[in-house]
Amino acid sequence: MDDLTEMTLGDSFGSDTAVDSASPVAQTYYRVLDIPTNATRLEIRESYLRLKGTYSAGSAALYSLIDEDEAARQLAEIEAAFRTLSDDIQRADYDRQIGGGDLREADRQGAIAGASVTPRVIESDRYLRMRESAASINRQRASEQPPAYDDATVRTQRSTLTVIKLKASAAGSPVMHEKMRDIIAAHDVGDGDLYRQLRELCSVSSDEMQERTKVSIGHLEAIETNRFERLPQAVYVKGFLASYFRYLDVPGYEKLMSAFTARLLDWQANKKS
Amino acid sequence: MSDLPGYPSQEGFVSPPSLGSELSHPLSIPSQQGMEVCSDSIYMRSPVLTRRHAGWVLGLPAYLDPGERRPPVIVAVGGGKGGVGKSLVSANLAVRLAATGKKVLAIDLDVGGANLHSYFGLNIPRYNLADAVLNQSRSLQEVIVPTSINGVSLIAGGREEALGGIGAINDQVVRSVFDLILNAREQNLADFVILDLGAGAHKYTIDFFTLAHAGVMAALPEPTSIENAYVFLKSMLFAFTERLGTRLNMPEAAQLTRSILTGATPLPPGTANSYLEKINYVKRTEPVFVSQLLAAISGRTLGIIINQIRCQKDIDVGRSMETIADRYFGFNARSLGYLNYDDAAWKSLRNRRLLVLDFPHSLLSKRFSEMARTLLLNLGL
Repeated sequence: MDDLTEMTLGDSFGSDTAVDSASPVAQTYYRVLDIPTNATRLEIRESYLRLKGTYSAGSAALYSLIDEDEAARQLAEIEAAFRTLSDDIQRADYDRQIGGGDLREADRQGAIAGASVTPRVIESDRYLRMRESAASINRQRASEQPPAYDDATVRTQRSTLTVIKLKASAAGSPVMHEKMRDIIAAHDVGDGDLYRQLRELCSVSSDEMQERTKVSIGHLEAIETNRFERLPQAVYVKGFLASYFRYLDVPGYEKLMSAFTARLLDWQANKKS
Repeated sequence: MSDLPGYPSQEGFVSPPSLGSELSHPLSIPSQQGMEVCSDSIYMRSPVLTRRHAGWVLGLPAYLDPGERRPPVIVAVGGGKGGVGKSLVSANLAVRLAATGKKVLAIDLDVGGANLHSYFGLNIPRYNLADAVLNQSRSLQEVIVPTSINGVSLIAGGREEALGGIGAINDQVVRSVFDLILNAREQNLADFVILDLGAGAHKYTIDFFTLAHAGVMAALPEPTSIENAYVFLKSMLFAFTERLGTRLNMPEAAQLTRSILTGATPLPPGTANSYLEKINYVKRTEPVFVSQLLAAISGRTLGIIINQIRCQKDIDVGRSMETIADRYFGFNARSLGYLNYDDAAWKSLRNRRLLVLDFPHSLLSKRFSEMARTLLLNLGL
């Protein structure tokens, strides 16, 4: 209980940024969507849908508390935040603007080095969230560059970047390719466990993978644990793997794909005979 | 009625219906017959409750102090408007919590409209809350009546002639109730205490509601009910402000916060649209007070239950209210689920049996299981 008191006192005394948290500039997109700066795409999307439902016209929950103008203003903010954060390139730019880019990368590295999946905290802990937002305000002040996006630039950027959305946030960088090559070289290319390692390297959860590739969690798990009896015909599995590797942007993935399908075909042939 | 097969007689205990395998909580302990000792550390076992303990104490009415005593886990069911299902939720939630093997004590605090015993299918008990806290003529053991469910006991609400309506309640009564709750834990009579509150946002209703670690708000997906629910939340913010002013001996800070919250002191346009932002605004001048106030607000869990839902839109109201309570008021709000509009509710009441026992396979019964599970998860249990 002492921790709690210290934490709150620390927040108010340690920095004077918290004082400014009510000013409009302090509203980062992450705060608008109520998400941490290292939120996955799935989290961003879920939060967006929840908030959009809350503030949409005709939402009964606003009654007597929030008038229509206020709701419309909130909704516009939410839409703008989602437009930027749901697009990887725009999000990276935005992170640089608010000075959070390195932090996000650091989080990612931490996730890779440590546990593969960060355990989710069950309760909504306002303190952590408030500290998080205070930290992002700090970063914003440090860079002293308020986010400047007009609708026109957003539209042009979106039209050219739709393809990128098909890839995981961490995928595609040369550093990541190098790491992937190292891992692939050290393992059997037809082994599902290797694929899991690649996925975790990009800190993509099974849920995110399912959401993006539309391959069911059951099949994803079967692939990653080499449980051939739970997989459909090889031709389908080949398609699953293609989406899987494309999402992670694995270099030279055809080799992996054909190795796994060959193993699966062998297994299925043995089963028949 | 007790001759009917499958119906629990009031004399013989029946085990609480199980949560069902697909719903059972991973940490739940199977019900044990004849438990003698409360698990000593149920409160301590929860990292959430332990972490929030300081905040919880801060938000208690200023004249209460648990001291070193560890309370049972307190769940209050309120919600502002009448007829939204507070007693229904209290009774059935009590049974579902007891299904995890814990002792549950339900206390009817609906002064002047006490009828929780009817939801348990009991006749008006001989002794009630008033005998224990007002006249002090009966001991705690005498006023606790067993119900037909193993592990669930009840303290009936004070009868009108004894308690004389809400006017008879004063700080002393609230303190007595609080002591009674803490004693129930000390005497191994309860791991969970469920407080069934009356309608309205009366000062003492708010006082009782804020005793709880988890305040459960029941509401209907209707404007009137939602409006009352928000009034209830606002009243809580004002209550916390006032209490901390007394507790920390900072009356000026409390006065300032109060006038900013009510809008008496206008803020520059565009700075603060929500109560949470308004409170944060006060941080400029009163950092200590505000940090303690936020600790008190987030020292509790706020559960939201939408009752009598008829369509998907009604279900969404619960999630939206959760978002609003979280963003506008700063509460740790969680939607605990919803209850379908179902004839089982009034049928079971007319049969004078508990809903989850009378219609164990109804949709409502399943919703109560989910509700109990979500509540336990949110309390870190």
